[in-house]
Amino acid sequence: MGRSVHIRRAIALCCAVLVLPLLSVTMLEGTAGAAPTAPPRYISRYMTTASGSTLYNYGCAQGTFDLNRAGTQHSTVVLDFGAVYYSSTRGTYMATLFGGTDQPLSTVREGVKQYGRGYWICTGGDLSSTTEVGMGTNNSAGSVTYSAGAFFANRVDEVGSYYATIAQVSAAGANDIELGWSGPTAARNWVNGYGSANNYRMFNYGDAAGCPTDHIPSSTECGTAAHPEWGAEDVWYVSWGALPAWPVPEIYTTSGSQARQWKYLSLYGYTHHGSSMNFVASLTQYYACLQVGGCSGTNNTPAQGWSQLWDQLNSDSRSADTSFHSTDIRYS
Amino acid sequence: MATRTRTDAHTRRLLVILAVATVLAGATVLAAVAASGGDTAFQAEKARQQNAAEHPAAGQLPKPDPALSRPAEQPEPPWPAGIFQDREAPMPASQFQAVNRWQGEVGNRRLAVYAGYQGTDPTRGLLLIFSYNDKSIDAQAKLIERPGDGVLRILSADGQVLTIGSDSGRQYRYDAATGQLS
Repeated sequence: MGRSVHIRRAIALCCAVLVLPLLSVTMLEGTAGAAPTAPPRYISRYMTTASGSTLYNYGCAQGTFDLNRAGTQHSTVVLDFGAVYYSSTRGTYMATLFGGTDQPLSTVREGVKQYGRGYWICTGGDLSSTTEVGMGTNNSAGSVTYSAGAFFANRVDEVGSYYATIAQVSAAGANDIELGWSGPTAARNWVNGYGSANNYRMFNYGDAAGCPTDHIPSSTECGTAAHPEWGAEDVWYVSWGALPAWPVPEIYTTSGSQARQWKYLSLYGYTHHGSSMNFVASLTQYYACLQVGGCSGTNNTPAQGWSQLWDQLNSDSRSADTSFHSTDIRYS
Repeated sequence: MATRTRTDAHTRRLLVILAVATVLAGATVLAAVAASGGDTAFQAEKARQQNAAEHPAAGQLPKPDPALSRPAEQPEPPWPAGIFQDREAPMPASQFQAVNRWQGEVGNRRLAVYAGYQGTDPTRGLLLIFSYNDKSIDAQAKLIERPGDGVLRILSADGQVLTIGSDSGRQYRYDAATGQLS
């Protein structure tokens, strides 16, 4: 009799030990409520000029926006100066400015300094609001190399050193890494080069084309017709796995497919590397779509993009992230 | 006696199985905890970066008067002109893949006409057109689609009139001054 009680107790104890982890795994999913109200969207830009006065005006406009809002604001913006290439005739790296006159990165650096200066000055009596300004390039052409990444990081460092003499502004590097533009080797090399020289973090504000929308990917899933060699491991690395990398993902699709891709990439990081992603901001292109006369299925409003990402990330406690910003890109 | 021995053996087997299961479950929990913590040095560096971004260093300079602080305007460099065989365009790769572009000035506007195709469907030819003011800002944009024509490319330019060919063998004229494709 005593023995059978002992056995039953042992069985009950063991069952409890077995069931508890299962319960906790079950509770990982579906714990979040509805997304809260989206934060204000901040303006990111495709740049066709590196003019200091133009960039000052853009920064001032953002500073004025924050000054006129109640309370303290924190924001993320990207200034996209196009591809970067090495000019042997100039002996330096140049930004293409999307059709504008190519400019040395030293000129771009001076323009980005002016953006921050404009923000700082035009926030006026608001001494608390802050913005993080990403000096952006992409992997579509030019020098997507280790050396270019290191050179770019040095220019961002110089912007950051200047920002430290004023206030309320911090610098970041940024790269629109899209899986249809280059293979992963080039993109990884650029990120590694950036990481060899950086004092400031780097945003990947690209896409996750071809990554699954309904399950945690294997390390080799993702990629495009042009570059099928991309895998989830690569996207994770250039977005989060590399020390300076932080995701500002494109959440353009109204179907929510891109938000789902990034949720599963974050879960990929959790399950394969013990670290889900922390997101800096969601990126939409609502205003750019208005400018070109409409985009079919890729024109999430900033609030829609932010909420889609919030809902997806917070539908699983392993990828939960509630504190990211919203930025919307446009043509200058 | 034999029955009792069988019962003991059965009990012992049951307990061994449960013990193994318990150890496995414990290991699972430990692995999950370790995974959620991740690499400590990695997490610490990420936290440092986030903190630095959210708390920018503050210099000692007083804020200048905005009215007196705007940098002097410099004239924009000349707008590049001609046909350029590069594939970069200010649009996501999934939406637009450029083949080449034409640039020139029409009146007081700076124009760029990109030819290419829809990023995930090469049968859908696209033209992406931008116009800017003399400061290379104040963008106006337009997207023209030619479904079923395949990839579009700019073949030549005669002043502001572009000849555009498609993979399907059709040719178009795009008048950059009027914005008409015919």
